[in-house]
Amino acid sequence: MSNEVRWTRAMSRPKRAIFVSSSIGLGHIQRDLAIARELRTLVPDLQIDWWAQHPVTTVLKAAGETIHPKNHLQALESAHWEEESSQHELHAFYAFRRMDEIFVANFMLFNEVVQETPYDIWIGDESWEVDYFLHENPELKSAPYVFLTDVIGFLPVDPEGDPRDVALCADYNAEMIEQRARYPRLRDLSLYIGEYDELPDVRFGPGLPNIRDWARDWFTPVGYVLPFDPLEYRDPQGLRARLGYGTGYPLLFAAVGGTGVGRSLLERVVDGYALLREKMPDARLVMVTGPRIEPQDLPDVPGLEKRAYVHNLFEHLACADAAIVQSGLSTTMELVATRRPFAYVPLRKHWEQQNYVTYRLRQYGARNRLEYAELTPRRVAETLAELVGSPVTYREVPRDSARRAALQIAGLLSGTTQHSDAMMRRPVDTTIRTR
Amino acid sequence: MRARYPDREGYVERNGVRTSYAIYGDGTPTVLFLPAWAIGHSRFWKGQIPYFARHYRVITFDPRGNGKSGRPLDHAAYADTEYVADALAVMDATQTDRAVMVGFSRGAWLAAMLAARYPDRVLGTVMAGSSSPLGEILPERTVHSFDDPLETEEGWAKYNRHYLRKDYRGFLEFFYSKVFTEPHSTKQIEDGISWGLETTPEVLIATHDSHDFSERLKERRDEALAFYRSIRCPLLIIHGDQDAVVSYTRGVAIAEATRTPLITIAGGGHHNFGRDPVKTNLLLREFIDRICPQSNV
Repeated sequence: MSNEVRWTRAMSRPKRAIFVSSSIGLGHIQRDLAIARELRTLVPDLQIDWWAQHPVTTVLKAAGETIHPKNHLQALESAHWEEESSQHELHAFYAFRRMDEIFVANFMLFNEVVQETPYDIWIGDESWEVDYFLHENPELKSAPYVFLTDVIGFLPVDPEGDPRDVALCADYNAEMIEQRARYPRLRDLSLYIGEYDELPDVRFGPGLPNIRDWARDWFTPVGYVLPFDPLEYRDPQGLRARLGYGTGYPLLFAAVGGTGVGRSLLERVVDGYALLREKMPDARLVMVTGPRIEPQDLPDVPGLEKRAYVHNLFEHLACADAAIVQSGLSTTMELVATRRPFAYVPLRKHWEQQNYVTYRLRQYGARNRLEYAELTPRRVAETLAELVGSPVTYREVPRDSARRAALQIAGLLSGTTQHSDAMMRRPVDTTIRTR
Repeated sequence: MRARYPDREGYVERNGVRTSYAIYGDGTPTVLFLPAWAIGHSRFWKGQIPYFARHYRVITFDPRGNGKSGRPLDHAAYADTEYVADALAVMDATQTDRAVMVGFSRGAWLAAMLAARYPDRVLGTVMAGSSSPLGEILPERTVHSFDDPLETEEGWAKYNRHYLRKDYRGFLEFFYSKVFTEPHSTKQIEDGISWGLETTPEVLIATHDSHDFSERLKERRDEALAFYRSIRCPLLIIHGDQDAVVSYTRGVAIAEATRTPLITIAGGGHHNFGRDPVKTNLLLREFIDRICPQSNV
C-alpha cells in the first residue's frame, strides 16, 4: 500500500490543526502547550499535529503530544543557533538573517505537508518561514492561518550605532509592513503575546511607523502567556521546603538560558557572590549553567551550588530571595509572575533582549537592568545585597492569556470570529516603499 | 550554517584545472545544477539543494575560477567548451549517464550547449535568465568598452578591466544590485558579493569574451536559431521581465526558437531561483516529475 493515494471526503475528515512552534528558544513550546490545552477544552474533537524541532520535540513527547511524522526532515534551526552562539557573542539579528536557506528548505517541506493533509487550520508561533514565504507566495495558502508572536519587528541593538544594522533592520521591517498591507487577509489572526503597551514605543526605523501604533492596527493582543498559574507560586517558604532548600538564609539564583554565551556573565556573578559572602555569610547561590556550560568549568566558592539543568526552573526561581539572570523573555517574566526581586543582564548584541524584553519588563515594573560592561564583581555583590528582602511592585501577569488566545483560535475554527475593530480601522493603503 | 551538507564531495582534473563537485541525496533522476560564471559558485543554488536532494539526486559543481575549483588565468581556460567538458567530466566521475540540466545566466547557455551537443546525456534542460546569442543585449551594456580606460565609472562602466582592478568590491556591489533588482534583496546581494570576493578581478578578466561559440553566433542569427532548434529534450525557460543583467528579450527569443512556452517572472530580476526560490522550486519540481514520470516514487 506504499503507493496509495488517499482522499478523504470532506465530511468524513477529523478536525485537524497543524501547530508550528519555533525552535528558537525553549520558551515558546511551554506557552504553545498552554494554548493547545485551552483550545482542546473549547474544541474537544480537534486533533493537533505538532511541527517543531529538537529539542522542542522532547518536550512535546514528554507531554504525550503527536508530532508530525515528517517533522524530522526539517533542517535544524537549533543547530544553526548553537553554531552561531558558540562564538563569544550572539548577534541575534544576523543569526536570524543567516537562516535564509534553512527557512526556504523548511518552508518547502511545510508546503508539502499541508498539501498532503488538508488541515482545518495552521497555527504558527513565530513560524517565520511559513509567514514570510506565504506572503511571497500567497496562492499557497489553503487553510485558515493564525500567526502568534511576542516580538514585532527588528530593532538595531544600538540605534546610534552601525548604520548597516540600522538600515538592515529597517529594511526587514519595511518588507513585513508592505507584505501585511498588500495581503491583509493572508493571516486570519495575528495574535500578540502581550498587551500593546508592552511593545517598544519607537519607530520600526527611519520613515516607518511607530511599533505600538502599527500593532494596534495589525495585531490582537492576548496577554503574556505563562506556562503555569502564578497564584500557585506565592508561598516561597512552603516552596523552599518542598524543593528541599530549607529556610532561614538568603537563597540566590543565577541563570543564563541555554546558550554558551552566558559563561562570562556567570563568572562575574561567582566573583560577585564571593564578595557578597563577606557581608552576608549565610547567603547561598544556586547557579543554573544550562546545557552548554559545564558546571565544573566555573570556580568553586563556599555556598555556591552549580547545576547544569533544573526541571521546571520557574518553581525554583519562585522561591528565590534574589536572582540575577540573562534577560531571556521566559525566565524574566516567570520572575515577574512569581514576584521575586531580580536583576537582568541583556546579551550585548541581542536585539530582542536589548529592546523588546527590556520594554516589556519596564512596563511590568521590573527595572533592575544591568549592563554587561558595568558588571563588576562589586556591582554584582551590591545588587544582590540590595535585592534581598526588597519589596516588588510588579504589575500582575495575567492568568487567562492562553485562554484568550485559544478563544480567538476557536472562534476562527467555528467561523464566529468577527472583524475586529482594529481590522476596520486599518488605513486603506499603508504601503511604504523604501527603495 | 547550511540547510544541507553534501553526502559526498570530489573533484575532476582536466589539463591541470580542478573542478570540485558535490552530491546530495540518492533519488532519481539526477539533477545537475550548473554554475553560472566565475563570479560565484555552487552556493548560488542554496535555495534549491535541500529541497531537491530530498526527492532526487542533486549534483553541483564550482566553476573553474571560483569556489573549491581551480583559478587559471589564461583566456582559453574559460572557453565555453571547457565548461561543457567540465560538466561532462563531473557526470562521468559521478557515474551519471543522464541528468536534468539546470542553469541560469551563463549557466543556462551551458545547459543549452549540453542539450544540443550531448543529447544522450540530457533528460531535460532548464534555462533561467539565460545568456544567449538570440534576443537583444541591454542597451546600457553596449555603451562602454571592457578593455579601454574610461572617463566614467558610472553604471556598466564598472564592468571594465581597469575598474575591476581598481575597485573589485565596488564592481561586485554594482553587479549584484543589477542581479537582484527586486526590493528587499539585501541578503541575496550580500551573499553574491561574498562569493564574488572568493575569486579575483584577474580571474573575471580572463573569463571575459572567451565564450567563443556564443560570441560567434551573435553575428549569425540563422545558425543560432538552428542551434536552439536542434535541442530535442524537454525545456523549461524562465526569465524575469525586469532582468537588468540579461535582457528579457533573450528569454523570449529562446522560447520562440524552441517553441516552448516561456515562464515570465513578472517583476523578477536576473536570478529568479535565488530571489523567488519557492515559486521556481515548484516550477522545477513539476517539470522534473512531468519529464521523468518514474521519478520520486
